[in-house]
Amino acid sequence: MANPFPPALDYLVQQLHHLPGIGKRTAQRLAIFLLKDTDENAQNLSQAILRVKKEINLCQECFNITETEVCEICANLRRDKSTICVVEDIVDIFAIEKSHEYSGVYHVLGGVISPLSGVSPEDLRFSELIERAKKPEVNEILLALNPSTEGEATMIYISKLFKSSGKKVTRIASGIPLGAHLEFIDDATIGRAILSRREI
Amino acid sequence: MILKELEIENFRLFPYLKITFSDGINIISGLNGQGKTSILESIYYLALTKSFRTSNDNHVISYNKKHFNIKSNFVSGESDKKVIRIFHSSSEGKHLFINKKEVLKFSEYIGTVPCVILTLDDLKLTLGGPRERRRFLDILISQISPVYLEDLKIYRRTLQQRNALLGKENKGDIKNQISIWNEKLIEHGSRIISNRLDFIDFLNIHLSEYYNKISTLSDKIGVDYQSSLGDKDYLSDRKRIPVRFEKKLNLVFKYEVEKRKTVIGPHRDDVQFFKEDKVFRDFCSQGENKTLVIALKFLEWEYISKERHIKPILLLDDIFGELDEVRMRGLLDFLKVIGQAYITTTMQDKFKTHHTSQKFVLKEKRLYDA
Ligand SMILES: Nc1ncnc2c1ncn2[C@@H]1O[C@H](COP(=O)(O)OP(=O)(O)O)[C@@H](O)[C@H]1O
Ligand SMILES: [Mg+2]
Ligand SMILES: [Zn+2]
Repeated sequence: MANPFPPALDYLVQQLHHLPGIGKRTAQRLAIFLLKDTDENAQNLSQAILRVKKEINLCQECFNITETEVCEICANLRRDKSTICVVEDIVDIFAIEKSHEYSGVYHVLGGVISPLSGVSPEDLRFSELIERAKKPEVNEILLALNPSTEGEATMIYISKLFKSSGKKVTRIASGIPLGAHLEFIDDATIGRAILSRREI
Repeated sequence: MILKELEIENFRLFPYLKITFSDGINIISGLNGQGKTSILESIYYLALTKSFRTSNDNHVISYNKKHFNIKSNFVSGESDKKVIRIFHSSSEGKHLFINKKEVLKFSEYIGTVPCVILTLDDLKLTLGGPRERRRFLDILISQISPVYLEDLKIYRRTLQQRNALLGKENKGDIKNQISIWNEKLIEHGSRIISNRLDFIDFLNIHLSEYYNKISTLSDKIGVDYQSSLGDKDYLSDRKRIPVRFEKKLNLVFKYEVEKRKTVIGPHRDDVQFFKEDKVFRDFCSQGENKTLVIALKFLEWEYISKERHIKPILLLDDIFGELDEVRMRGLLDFLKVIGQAYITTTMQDKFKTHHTSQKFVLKEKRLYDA
């Protein structure tokens, strides 16, 4: 079947399709919407994308997003630096922060181990985590990965990494339904899960 | 569980059909192609959220339609009423509702309406490959335990991940990485094996009795769970399964790297039947095989009803043409003590003298009282 999209539009469809959660059909609908939209809106959108790329970096400590070198959480003197909470993704920090039950710092792994999707331990920020945890003030690694099969396996991997390090490794309690994603769980549930963490 | 009323829409050849059933035996007769199996298929959907004839839900939607709907009223005991609805469309997928509330997880749904089905296809259960027998165990136990269904799901996912790792060209520190998947494989796999063994034990106690009731003979029938973990002795002590699993995984590690896949675990296990001390499938006649399959299905029914305290719905699809007088009588005897059953047949006459049942005739997409 002939492609009904001219090359320029087709290119936009491909770029949109590349975004997480955007299927081919949705990408086409979005592309056509943008095509019909005003020039000004199109300018704004493309500039917004370029601006975040230019102005927002990853925190040198925890890989959270920040406009400075170190993120607000890491720079905050009142945060408890003895506990590092390991999360999969930046959005998980927002979810946990909203519960107001956690006062330590974070470490964004950047994903979970998944041979099926070609993600090996080298692709994630484990060596950075080990470096950070070497500081004497750190005494607890709190694992808050999603309880998917891959999240569970990654937590097992981390607990093995720290086995003989003398650091306490805990995980948030599973008041969280199996297979549910952290970002979709209500604050109270996350809060309770953090309070009732257990050692592994 | 008693299905009182069934309403289907755009399901197979039926644009719309509404039926009120009897609490006991319901016999649906009609010529070939009238839609008898489709009615059982819709009841099976209510139990297991899928078909026994196809793994593609879209095939079940009537030709040229966009969705199907199955609505039903169930009662269990004195007062427990449930309205269950299954909606499926190719664009929106499948949705399950109990009392108008959507149920989002299969493991929270499966088991609500326990069900046992016997079709001609099931004659492969004993003679076909090991996959059929594992499927039999898995469907049965999933209806008893939501944890089992979760275990299966996680085990399969772990297996895929582990096989992907074993299949990689550049293996790196595979020994280290495989160990994290081993932990999950062992945790969930051991529970799966243990649950299967519970049912196998139950079979061993009752199988001869049920077999002989149907065949009117007196043979000794046995079953054996043949685990890829080897050694029988660990089976009696369920707590030793994980230890055994781990040992065996270490033992086959080199071989797995070479084969690039997981070679032991419940996904490789099988069940073997024996008559006296001979392997059943190697010596049995066709008639004996039918007897064994019927006995297994009855015991599936007994096991679910013992574990769940709910009588499963029994579906018998077109099997009476294949049975001689003796086995037919054995079956009908059993039906006396069972809860609700649905029987399809092309031979209405065979049931003429069966007075306790409600009889329907299916013709031109409509159901008539016979
Ligand atoms: N998705 C569908 N839409 C419409 N008709 C269908 C569909 N699937 C199967 N059929 C028709 O249904 C009939 C088979 O129904 P079935 O329930 O197997 O009948 P029976 O068990 O009485 O022999 C066939 O005529 C087939 O063409
Ligand atoms: Mg049929
Ligand atoms: Zn930071």
